[in-house]
Amino acid sequence: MIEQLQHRAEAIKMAIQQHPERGADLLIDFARAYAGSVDAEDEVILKKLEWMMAPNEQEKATAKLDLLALTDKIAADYNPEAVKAFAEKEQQVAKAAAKISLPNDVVLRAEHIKKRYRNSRFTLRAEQLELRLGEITGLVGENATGKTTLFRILAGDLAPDSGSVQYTLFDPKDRLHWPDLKRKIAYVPQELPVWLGSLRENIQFEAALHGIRGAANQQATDYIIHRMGLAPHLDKTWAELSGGYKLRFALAKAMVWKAQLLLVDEPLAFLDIKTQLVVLNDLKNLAKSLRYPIAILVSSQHLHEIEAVADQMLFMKDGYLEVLGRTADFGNDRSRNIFEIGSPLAFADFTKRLDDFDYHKTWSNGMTYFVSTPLETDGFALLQFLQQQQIPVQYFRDISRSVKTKFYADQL
Amino acid sequence: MLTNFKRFLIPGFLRRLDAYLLERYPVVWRTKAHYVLFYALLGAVVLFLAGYCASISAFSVEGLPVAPIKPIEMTADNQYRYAFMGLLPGILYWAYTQYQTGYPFYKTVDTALTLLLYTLCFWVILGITTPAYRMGTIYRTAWHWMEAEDLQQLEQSGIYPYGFVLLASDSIYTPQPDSFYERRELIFKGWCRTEDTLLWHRYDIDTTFWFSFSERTNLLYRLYRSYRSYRSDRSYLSYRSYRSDRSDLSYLSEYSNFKEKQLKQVSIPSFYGFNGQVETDTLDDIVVRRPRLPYSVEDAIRSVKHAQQYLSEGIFWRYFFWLRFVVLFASVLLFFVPFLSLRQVALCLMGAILGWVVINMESMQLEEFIGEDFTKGYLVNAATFLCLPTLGFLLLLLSALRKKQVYYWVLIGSALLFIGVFMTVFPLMGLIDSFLDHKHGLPYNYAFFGTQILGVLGAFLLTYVHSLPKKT
Repeated sequence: MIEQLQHRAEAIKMAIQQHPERGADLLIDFARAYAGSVDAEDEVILKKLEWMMAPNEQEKATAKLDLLALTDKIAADYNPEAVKAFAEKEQQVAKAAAKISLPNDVVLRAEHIKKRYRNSRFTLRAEQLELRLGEITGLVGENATGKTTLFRILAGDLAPDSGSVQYTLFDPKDRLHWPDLKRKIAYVPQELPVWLGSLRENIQFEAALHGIRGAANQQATDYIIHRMGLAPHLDKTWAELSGGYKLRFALAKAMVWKAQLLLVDEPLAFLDIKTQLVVLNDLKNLAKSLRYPIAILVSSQHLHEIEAVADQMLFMKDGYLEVLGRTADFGNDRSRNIFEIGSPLAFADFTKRLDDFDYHKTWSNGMTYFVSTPLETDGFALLQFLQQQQIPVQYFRDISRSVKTKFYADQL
Repeated sequence: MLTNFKRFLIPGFLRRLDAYLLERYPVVWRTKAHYVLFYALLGAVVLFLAGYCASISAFSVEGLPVAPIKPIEMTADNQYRYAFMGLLPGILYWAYTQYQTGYPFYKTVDTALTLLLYTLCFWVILGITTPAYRMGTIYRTAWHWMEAEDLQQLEQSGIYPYGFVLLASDSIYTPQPDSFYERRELIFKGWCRTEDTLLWHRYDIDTTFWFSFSERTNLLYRLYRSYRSYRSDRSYLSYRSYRSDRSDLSYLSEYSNFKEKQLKQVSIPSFYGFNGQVETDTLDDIVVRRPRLPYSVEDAIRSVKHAQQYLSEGIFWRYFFWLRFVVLFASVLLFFVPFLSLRQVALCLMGAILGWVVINMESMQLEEFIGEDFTKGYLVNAATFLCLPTLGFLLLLLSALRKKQVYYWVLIGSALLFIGVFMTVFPLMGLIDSFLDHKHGLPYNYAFFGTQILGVLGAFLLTYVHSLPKKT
């Protein structure tokens, strides 16, 4: 075992020599496996960041030497019993976390919200909405249905014509002292305001304003910068950033101070697929954090991605907010199964070939075809039939329990 | 390239201080007070040295750094104004950084701290940096331009150009020199005593002699004008005075000195470069060597004495502490910048200047029917300056009471407050003393203090109103 450890340490050191960034990633895994505490892992992460942000070759070389020294230190300090104990403890924590329900406190409660725009005659209505700690609430809906208006109302940026928004966690007596409340709400709007000055300073300033001062400020900033993969872009100006990175910086700013209520309007719109996953995973981890659980409301057109992480779903249509309930329970009371299929066949041909299959209805959105079936007919049966009929399938998804069905309610 | 330039401009300790404040005192960091104070004080040193090293010419009164007679009114001084204009881009850049960072949802105490830091910075900029060049010239004139012994000798040598003082009894015929000069010497010495007394009290003449502020200025100005016309401008003089001027005795106050040929004072002005050359004239059997421009010698002596008086009496500190009436205005104006767009700020500034002009024109019209009724005029004056900020404050207050940020109310309210404050502070920039008392140059108008109070309260109110949900 020791020999294997030494061998791996040597391989990591070689990797650090040749490509410090990649070597540091290997060292993070190495620390996670053999260090027996989270401190070593954190140290490697910060050292990697130090290397990435080093302004000159000399400092880069120093950081590289530190990484090499850390590798040796972790290998030398290896204590199988300590590692085993740590792993057991981690497992125990994970098990406990699974059993312990999150506080589930209601952070925000909105009731009978109504907002009307006189010029466009658009009216937003939201009867009841609750956001809870440790939960992600997904908001979906077509364009121009009032999602951003709802966000602005919940963030305290826009006053509703009637109804109430209570911030039960921050303002139990409902005093609505807005300067205090605004400091506790992290809102990332769809249209991001321009950041001026250094990007890093913007994040540090936000953290400091929320009480993260001194060494903790730098640590929190470094951590969020690393976590969001922002280090290579720190020297850029806001105008030089792509839309995706602007959002990542905005999220970093909102997440650095551990807000308890995070409202993110359309975060996935400008992100590549890989980053979408990073952001959603981050949101999920943030919301479920045992120490600092957060209530998150996130809107997106990426239904399946949002559904994958959301605990609760909201649907907005023509200004009316519908609370769809728990994601896990969604579709329990459905009367049909619905499948979305992509096929090169023409829609008429596709429908004709389904004649012998027990389906209820087919329709198309122009891109993909939808088949609704009785509850007894599941996706497996449909796939089997398609195969038998040699119908070419490029895409297949069971959306019976997806919010997507709400977009086709008129077809059902 | 830019980074290197920034590193060159910002010393290491300041960068470290910036990082320290960012991590520990974000409210202070946002104001950029540390940068402002550092560069303002650095600028003060540079400007002071520049003023100290500025060339001094005694060939004309305009070339003297300290005017012989006219009191130094710091805000009305060209060197002060040019220095201020030079610093203005820096002040505007500072305002832009405040606009850049926007205004976070601060606690009330943070807002107070921000206002306090702005005030401190403006006090340093206007009280130390801007007058630094002027102070450099004054300091040099007072203590390092002329040796104390030389100054004393020049003073005592009595170089006073009284030769062409005309009396009603003078005729076009050449008078007897003895009686002619002795009589003039007597009269002129009397004038000099009066003048010296006035000059000695030039900064307190209003309290000493109970003259009004404007009367003091007028008196000294008249004195200044007569001095100039008597001594330098021959076009004022008639043929007879010209003749007496040509007597070549005009620069001597002591006729006996002249007679005894004791003209050693000639060498000192030459040493200080007051005169390009020394002229030699012959009068009867006496050969006289004299400076070409004797009046410059007198101007130079008076300048040095004036500069010494300015420093020893601490006149500068009067200006420095007088700034307490101004800096709060400037702080409030800067405070409002992040709440308005750049275009709105520009429009407000233009509106304020236009408003000020209109008010002044209106005041002239009003005088016709208000007449000399001071109380009525005072109230009208106060009301015209107070109406805009009061209206603006009320709009913000209404919005706060409704607990909603009514967009146009807040926009118009903050713009009116900004315009009102600027309109009140604008005349203080040395253009007019609308708000200054006739005694001691202190503000007296309700509008002056009222606008300040409304401005400061408005700043606190605006931060609150901006945190409210918008009502569209």
